[in-house]
Amino acid sequence: MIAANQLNIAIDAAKKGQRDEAREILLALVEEEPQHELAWLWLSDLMPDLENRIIALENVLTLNPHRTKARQRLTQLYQQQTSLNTDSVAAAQDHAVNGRRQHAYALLQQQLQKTPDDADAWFAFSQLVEDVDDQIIALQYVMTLNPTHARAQYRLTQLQLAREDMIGLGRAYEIMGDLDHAIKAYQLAYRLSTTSAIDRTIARKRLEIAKKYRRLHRHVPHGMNLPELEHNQMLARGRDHEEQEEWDKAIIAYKTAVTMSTSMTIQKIAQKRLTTAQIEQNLPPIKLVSPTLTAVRLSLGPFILYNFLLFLHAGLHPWHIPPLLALSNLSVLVGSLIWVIVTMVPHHTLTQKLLGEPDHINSFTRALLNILGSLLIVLPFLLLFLSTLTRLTAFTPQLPAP
Amino acid sequence: MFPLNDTEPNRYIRFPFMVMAIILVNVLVFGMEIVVMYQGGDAFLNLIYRFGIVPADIWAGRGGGGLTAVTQMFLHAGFLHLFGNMLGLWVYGRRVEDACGPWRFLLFYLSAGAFAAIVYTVARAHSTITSIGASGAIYGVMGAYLILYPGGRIRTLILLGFIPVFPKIRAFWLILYFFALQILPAFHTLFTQERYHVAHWAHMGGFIGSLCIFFFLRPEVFHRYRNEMLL
Repeated sequence: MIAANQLNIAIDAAKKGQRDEAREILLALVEEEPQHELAWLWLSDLMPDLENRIIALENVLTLNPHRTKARQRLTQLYQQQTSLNTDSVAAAQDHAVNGRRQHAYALLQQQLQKTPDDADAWFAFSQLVEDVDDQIIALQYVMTLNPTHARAQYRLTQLQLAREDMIGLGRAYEIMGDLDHAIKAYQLAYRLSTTSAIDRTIARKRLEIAKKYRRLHRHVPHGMNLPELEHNQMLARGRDHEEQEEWDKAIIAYKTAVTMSTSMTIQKIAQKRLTTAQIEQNLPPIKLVSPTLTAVRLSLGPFILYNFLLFLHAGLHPWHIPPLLALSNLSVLVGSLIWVIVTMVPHHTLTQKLLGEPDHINSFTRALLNILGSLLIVLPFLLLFLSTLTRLTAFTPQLPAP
Repeated sequence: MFPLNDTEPNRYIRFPFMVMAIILVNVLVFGMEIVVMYQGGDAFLNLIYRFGIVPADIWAGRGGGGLTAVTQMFLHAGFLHLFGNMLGLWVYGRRVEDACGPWRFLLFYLSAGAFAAIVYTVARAHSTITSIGASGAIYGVMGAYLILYPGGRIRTLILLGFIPVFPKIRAFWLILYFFALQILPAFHTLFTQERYHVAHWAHMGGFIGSLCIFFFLRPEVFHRYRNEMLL
């Protein structure tokens, strides 16, 4: 039952496009139940690389040799694998360029295991590794395999020169986004006795900057490169679009950041922002409330109270309302309207005609209108009160018998 | 079940001036009632019959009329009557005042009380018994709270035998519970004309009168309500 639930959850996630999540659930499932045929079948579609897809399908056919479609699919994958072997370096470079460094790394490792003397693979590998020393070793091996490899020669020369120059090395690490090594290089440059005073000052300043930047990105684990600029830009771009409430563009930017970034942190942030943007996109538009509606709505409040009291005063017989008090209704309404317009809705066109622009209100006129509005509201209530007092003085309540 | 406190914070005002002012006025008026009561004779009865709502007098156009709709809200028959009403006003009135602003809250409070008086007068047309108390207006405030903050959580005291528990209950359930307690007795009085010590129709009237809250809300609150945002 639990396995069935897990499978269903994974299938739902895959259908919603959450391939990574679906894959993780299925991998956990097959670890518990290696005989789970359906899980392997789904994994054969969800695995990112060809090798693992082949393994997944082979497992399916081991468990159920009669699956014809799976067999056909496996044959296709074998054919792809053969053609890819010749082009795996290009594929790895393509992965690297698109930010899928882990996939590029895995592909190159496989290639180098098969053909250890592939100079191009070693060169591509040197571009992937983070440590400068490792890059130098890889490039030196490329030169050993192919002494005429011009790009490797050029890159090796650059790195060797940078190695003599710790500040230059630190700068090189900075450009690559590896702040941990940059900080080490600057620290070394600062401490070495052979460093000149000027270089020491430069090293100190760059060290401070690098440390500050490292603190800002302290969530990035040590040793990992900082997020590539273009994916970081996608996140920033998404935020810009969000602020402009361009939800479609924000969603595209966040989706790009989620799929392209190799940093888990950036992916998580982008995923959260993507969810928010999708929710905002589906929200109905804000209904605005016009100043006229506000003015009318608030003006009716005192009018309603006055009419309730008047209705009771007239013994719940509207035709018994004294004419003066009935007319006073209008006074309450007009007074409320004036008061509300002057105090509550400064952007109403009527308010601006009476008082001027909200930033340059005529205070005298405003005070005058305030007083007028208040008088128009209060006077009818006073009249009602006086009328009631007159009745009360002549009234003797009929008390209940003891 | 006794509501004790609204656990949600205000958004616009720090202190509910008008709620406290109304409570203070009620307490002062009750103090005056006690003084009148101690005078003995018919002084107290005179007071509550003159300034309370007597439906038969209203229909006949006698007495204070509209004024009594206001004065009856500040008269109470006893300490428990006063305490219960003021507790309700404190619990539910704070955030309703926050949503309206102090002066508009006062207007709403009086309107709900006046409407409660109208409904009571219509439902008990021939009654010569006076009705006093703020509960019509309080039910109006409760109704407004239900409209504005149905999900609000109210700290409540419930006695399980002798054991007090203080759960937080959603306003929706609590207020509808109190309203439901009025329905049967109210209709019972309508069909049997039996006398009750509680003016159930005034409570029902105040509750229905709470619909006029929309004429007293701050513009920002009305905007948020219209857009189904949290108030």
